[in-house]
Amino acid sequence: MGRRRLATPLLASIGALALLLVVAAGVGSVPIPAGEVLAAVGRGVWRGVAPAGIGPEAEATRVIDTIVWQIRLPRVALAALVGAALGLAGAGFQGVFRNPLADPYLLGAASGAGFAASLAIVGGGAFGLGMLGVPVAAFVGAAATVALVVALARRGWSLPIVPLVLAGVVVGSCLAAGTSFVLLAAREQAAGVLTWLLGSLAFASWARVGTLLPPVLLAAAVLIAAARSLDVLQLGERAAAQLGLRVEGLKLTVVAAGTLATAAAVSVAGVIGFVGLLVPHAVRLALGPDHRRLVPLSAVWGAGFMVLADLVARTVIAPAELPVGVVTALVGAPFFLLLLRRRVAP
Amino acid sequence: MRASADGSRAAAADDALLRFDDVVAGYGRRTVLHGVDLTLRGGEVVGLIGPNGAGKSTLIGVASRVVPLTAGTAWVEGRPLASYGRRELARRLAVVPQAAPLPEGFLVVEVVRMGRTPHVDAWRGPRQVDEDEVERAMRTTGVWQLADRPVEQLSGGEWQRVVLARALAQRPAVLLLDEPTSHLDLRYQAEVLMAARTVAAAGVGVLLVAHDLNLAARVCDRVMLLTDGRVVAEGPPARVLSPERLARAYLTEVDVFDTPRGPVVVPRV
Repeated sequence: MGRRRLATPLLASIGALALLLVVAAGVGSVPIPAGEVLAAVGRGVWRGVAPAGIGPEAEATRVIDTIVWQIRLPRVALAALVGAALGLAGAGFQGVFRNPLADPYLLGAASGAGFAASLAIVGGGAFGLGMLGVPVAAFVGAAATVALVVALARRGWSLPIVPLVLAGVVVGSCLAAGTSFVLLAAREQAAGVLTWLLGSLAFASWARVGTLLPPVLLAAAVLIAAARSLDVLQLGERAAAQLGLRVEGLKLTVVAAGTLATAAAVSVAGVIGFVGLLVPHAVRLALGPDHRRLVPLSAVWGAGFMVLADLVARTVIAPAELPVGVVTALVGAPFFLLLLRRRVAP
Repeated sequence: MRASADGSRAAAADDALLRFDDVVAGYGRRTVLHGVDLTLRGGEVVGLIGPNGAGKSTLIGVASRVVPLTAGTAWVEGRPLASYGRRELARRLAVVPQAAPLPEGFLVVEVVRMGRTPHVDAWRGPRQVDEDEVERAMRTTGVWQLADRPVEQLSGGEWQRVVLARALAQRPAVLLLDEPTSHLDLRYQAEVLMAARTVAAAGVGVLLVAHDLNLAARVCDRVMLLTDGRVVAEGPPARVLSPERLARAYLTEVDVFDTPRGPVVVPRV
C-alpha cells in the first residue's frame, strides 16, 4: 500500500538507455548496425584486442572495432555520464531549494566554470598550453564559485536558502560579465571560448570518461542516500527539523554533492543547459515527487536525454556539429516555458 | 536521579514530560517569551491560550528546539532540552504545526510515514514496526482510507488530520498542537480534539494552542493564559476564563456563561 516501486521503472529505464547507447553508437559518417556494434563490443570485451588475421574481411572488422571503440563508445559514454551528472545535480538542487525551477547552475557553477575556462583558453593559447588546462580550470572555477556563494550566504552553521540563491545570482552575473570581457579582449580566440561555453562532447575520450566516472558515482551515492531526507525536507525546514532531520547538514551535503557532479560534467563537456532543470521535472511528472525514485531516475533519464541530444548535435549538419548545448536549449526552453505557465496558472 | 545543580527542580522535573523554568526566548533582538514556567505531565491536555502575538507559537518552537532559548531551562522527560540530539528529541516530542503545507504529489501514507523519520535507520529504511505505527496513527485519526490519495486532493479537515497522524506516527511522549482545529468544521474540530484526548489517555502529555477558548475549555484539564510573553493565569478552565481576566488579556469586553459543560466565552459585540 502506498509503496511506489523503484525497481520496475529503474530497470526499464536502464534497459532503454542501454538500447539507446547501442543505437547511438552506430550512427555517424560510417553507419554501423546495432548488431555490429554489439559484436564489436563483445570482441573488445572478450578479447580486449582487435581481431588478428589478414584479408579484407578481417580488415573491415578492425575498422569497425576501431570506430566503435575509439570514437563512438567514448562519445556516447561521455554523453551519458554528463547527462547523468546534470540530472542528479538537478534533482538534488530542486530538492534542497524545494523549487522545481532550480537547476545545477543556480549557485554560479556555470558562470564560474565559464570564466575560468575562458581565461584558460585565452591564457593557455598565449603560453602554448593549448586546451590542456581547460578542464581543470573549469572544474576549479565551478567548485570555487559555489564555495564562495555558500560562504557569502551562510549565517554561522546555517545556510538560509533565499540569501544563498541571491548570492548565486549576484556572483554568477559578475563572472558572466568577466567572461564577456575576456571574449572582447581576446577576439581572435572568441570562437573557441564560445564553442566551449555552449558545450560540446566532441573531445570525448576514454580518459575523460574515466575522469568523470568517480565524481559522478560519489555524487550519486550521496544523493541516493539523502533521498528519504530530501522527501522530509519538502515539508519545510522547520517541520523537517521537528521530525529530527539535521536540516543544515543535509542542505550542505546535497549542495556539495550536486556541485561535485556539476563541476565534473562542466569540466569535460562545457556548459550544457536545461538538462538539470528539465530531466528531474520530467521524472517528477511521470513518476511523482519522491526522491527515492526521483534521484536515480533523473540520472538514467539525464543520460538518455544527453545521448539523444548529442546524437542530434552531431548528425543534423554532418559532417559539422552543433554545440550540444544549443540542442538541449532548443528542446529545453519551450519545455521550461510550458512549466512556467503551468506554475503561474491557478 | 539525574545529578543537578538544583536538586529540587530536577526532582520536580522528573514526573513532568515537559517543563519550562523561567524560559526567555525570541528571534534575534526581539524577546517574545519573558520568563515562562510550564509543567506538562503525561495524560493531561493543557491549553495554551492568549491573544495573537502573545508567544504561543514561539513557545512551541522553543519546546521543539527550532527557536533557541536565551535564558532559563527547558526539560523533556527530566533531561535538559539542550542535551537532546534532533532525532532523539523527535522520538519524544512531536509538533502539529499551524498551517503546515504538505508537498504536492506525495500520497497521504507517504506523508504519515515521514513521521517515522526519527525512528528509521537511514540505511536500513522503514521496517514492519514502522508500517504498523503508521497504520495505527492513521486509524486513530480516521485517515486510513485516504492512504493512497495525493495530499493536494485533501479537504482542509482531512489535511489537518493527516498532519496529526504524522505527529502520532512519531510515537511521542509529548504532543504539541498549534491550533489544530483552525481549518476544521464542527465535526472535525470534535474529532481532532477527541483524538487529542485519546492520545492523552494513553499517557501522552498534550499541549494545545487554542484560539477557540470554548473548545479549550471543553477539552483541557488546565489552561495557561499567555499575554505579552508571560503566563498571567493558569488552572482549570472555569477558574482562568473569567471575564475580567480575559478582558485584560484580549483588550476587549467579553461575556462568560457558565454551562454544565464548562464556561462559554463570547466577545461583547
